[in-house]
Amino acid sequence: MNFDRELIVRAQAGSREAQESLVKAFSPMVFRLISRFFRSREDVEDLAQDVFVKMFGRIDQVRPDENFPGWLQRVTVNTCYDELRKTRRRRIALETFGPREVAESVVQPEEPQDIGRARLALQALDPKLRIPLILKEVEEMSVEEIARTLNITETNVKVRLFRARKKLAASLGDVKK
Amino acid sequence: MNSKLNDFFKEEQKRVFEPGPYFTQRVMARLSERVPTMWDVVPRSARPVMAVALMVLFAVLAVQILIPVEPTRGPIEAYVGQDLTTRDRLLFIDASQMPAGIQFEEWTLLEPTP
Repeated sequence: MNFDRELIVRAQAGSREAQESLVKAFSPMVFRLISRFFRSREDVEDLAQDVFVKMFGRIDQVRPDENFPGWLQRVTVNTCYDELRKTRRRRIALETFGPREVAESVVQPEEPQDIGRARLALQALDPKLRIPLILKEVEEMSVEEIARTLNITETNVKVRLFRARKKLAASLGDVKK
Repeated sequence: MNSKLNDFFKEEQKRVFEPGPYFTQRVMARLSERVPTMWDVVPRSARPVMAVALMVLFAVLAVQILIPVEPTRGPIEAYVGQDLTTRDRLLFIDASQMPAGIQFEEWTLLEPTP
């Protein structure tokens, strides 16, 4: 990604113009990445704002030689992970103590049945397994890139991908016996 | 992998939200309304451990300054007081804090006269 590294130095010094330019330059990337995990535009926008607030809160930690887009990707994915965990906890609580039909666990009428089922199966996955799978299959990142983004080892990424695929196949009734 | 999943992932690749026209302004507005707290300053500092140590030191100093410890007796009285008799000690008593009449009598009665 092409951007002026000078912008980061100026943003670290507190320049408002540089901060604005960074938001403009990186918001499409942040939006695209959050869109992979959240389906409502409002959620994506709220989380993108959180990501940029966090980014400017920690911008002093960025070293001059650091891969800034990679660092921002890590902040974005971590923000999504935290939110997914919260959402999952809320959903489990709702499924346990609330009404039987939870809005999110319904196949949306405009999508084909198979895709709807795949989406529900993916949503039911633990974020620990779901995030690496989406980064691999939808974002088409390499195992090395995923490991760097999630700050885990490559072996750990492979294990999580294997488990995620196995669980999905089981929930979609595609288990080889 | 399952063909349903492959189709799903292909569909997902097409589903992308773009930032709205006022997104940057909204982020900047959120940034300007944010007041940096101690928890923002400490991790951003070059030496976070030193920053925490300084904060603790300042907190202790602030407590010391705002809530001064009032000694029950002054340094002179503390030094000389060991050799004083109860009657002599009356000389050092603050006039505004005179003991009650009965207590005063008790003190003077208890003290053996030379």
